[in-house]
Amino acid sequence: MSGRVLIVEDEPFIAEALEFILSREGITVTVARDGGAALTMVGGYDLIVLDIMLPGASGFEIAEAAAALSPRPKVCVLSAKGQPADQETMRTIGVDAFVTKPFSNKALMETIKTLLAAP
Amino acid sequence: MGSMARVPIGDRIRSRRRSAGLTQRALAEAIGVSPAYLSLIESDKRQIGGRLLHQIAERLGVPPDTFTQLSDDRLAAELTEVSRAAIDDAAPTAAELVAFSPAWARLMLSLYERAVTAEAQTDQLSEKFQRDPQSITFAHDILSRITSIRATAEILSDADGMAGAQRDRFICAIVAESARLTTVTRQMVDVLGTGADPDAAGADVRAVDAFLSDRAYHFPALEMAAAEAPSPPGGTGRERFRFALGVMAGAAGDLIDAEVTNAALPTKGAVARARGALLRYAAGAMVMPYGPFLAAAKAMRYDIDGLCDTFGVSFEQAAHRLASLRRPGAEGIPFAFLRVDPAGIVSKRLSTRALRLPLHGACPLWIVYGAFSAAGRTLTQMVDLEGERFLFLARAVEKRPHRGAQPATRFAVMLGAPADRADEIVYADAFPPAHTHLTTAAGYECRACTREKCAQRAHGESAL
Repeated sequence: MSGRVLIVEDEPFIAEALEFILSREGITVTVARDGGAALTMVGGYDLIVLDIMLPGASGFEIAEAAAALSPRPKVCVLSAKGQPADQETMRTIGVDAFVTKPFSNKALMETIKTLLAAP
Repeated sequence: MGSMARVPIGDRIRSRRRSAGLTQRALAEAIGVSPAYLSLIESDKRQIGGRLLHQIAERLGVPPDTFTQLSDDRLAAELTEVSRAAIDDAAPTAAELVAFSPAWARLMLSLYERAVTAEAQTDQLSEKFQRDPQSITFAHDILSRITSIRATAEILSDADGMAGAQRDRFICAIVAESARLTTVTRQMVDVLGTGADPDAAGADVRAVDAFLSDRAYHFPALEMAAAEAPSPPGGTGRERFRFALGVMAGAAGDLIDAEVTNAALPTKGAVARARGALLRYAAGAMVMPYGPFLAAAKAMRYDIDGLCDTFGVSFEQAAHRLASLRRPGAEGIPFAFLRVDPAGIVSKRLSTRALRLPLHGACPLWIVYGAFSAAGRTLTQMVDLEGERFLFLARAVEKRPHRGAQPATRFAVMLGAPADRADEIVYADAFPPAHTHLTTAAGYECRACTREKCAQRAHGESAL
């Protein structure tokens, strides 16, 4: 599997685990640990995997910045909130999928593969 | 409230009469009524009070308040109110229950207090978790630790061919995140343990209210101690009162402890609150000595501003003292005292037998709420509460903050007196008896109110 993925996650061990499981599938991974830095990096990726609570800028702001790009990268949010109302809010700002923490690696990878395979 | 919850006393009269070995006829003759009328009284088909009740008590050789204990009326009124708060439909009054078994009635009230306290604490914690940034941080921190532990453990469970250094790195991650998870969880438990206000539902406030009400808000021993204390020096009202607090803390400390111990209050919070209330009572008695204060009040027809000038006290202090002039044989007008904050929450209340004040918010038509929009003015109102008329007078008061940048504390203070004593009160001059159109038709509190077509109704069936 190929693809370019930006992981925006300030928790170092979660970021490291994500980088590992995506890389071993052949995906090219870049990690940003700060929301403010990620805002300047959103261009040039097929998919952005985002945490919501981040230093510098929130995941919502980064998702909105990504939605303004052309071509628009897919966005997958890693969220602690699983309520339908939160999901609806995320979709309105251009989020394609969300995975609720704590997630299983297998389920996360299936979501990522689906997003990367979609046109 | 009012007369609606008075406890039936017929059974008690009959029981005492039989104990005294008197027939119905003998007692009836002794008190100058017919046996048939006494029979109606003993079966609670006639309510009596005043002179007739005194005659019965005298003939049976018991104190006059044997049959009508204020504590029973208070208990019945509060139980009736909580039953109406608990169910939407009109609940029966609790007077019969109190008459039949006061112990069960007290137990029910106690259980209700515990239930509403627990409910309020739960609400507080729930609110704390949903809105409090600290709680959100805890939740995020814990979830992040669990997420990294789970993701890393899954990687390790499928680690065929993984380099040793990489494997060690993930194992270290699990150990570090587990330790962090333990620390955060302990911190959260500590915060939860101290996060809820133990008197979230105001149960302590009500327990102390009940204690003061049962004692008719009169403490002869504290009055005596205050009378023996030196006069406070000159200065502002606040300074004089603070001086009196210091003196009475020493001079009446043991008396206050004894009163509070006898009251058998349910919690440490209630004990502390009662101790504070009695200390302020004693300080008030020192700054405003009973005899001179009562004489001045009568001479000025209860003009509170005049009393403030004469005794160098604040409006609230003078009003509070007026509500405590209940020495048997030398009573002032029986004023009920109410203090509410701008949110409408009752923060202090002293009921009387005639005017029982609500536990929670009062009827919004009461003038006490209007006082906030007329700072510095004493507002008056003649009200009709379910057929009984009362004179209300209220004023908004402000207390300076201890720190300059903080807002002042604001309350509205109200006194209520039976209309049949209104001619003794200067504030009633605005309501000549013939001008009944000046009387406001109101209730006690919304949920228990039976008044129809009330545009202000917030609970129960709307008339609009």
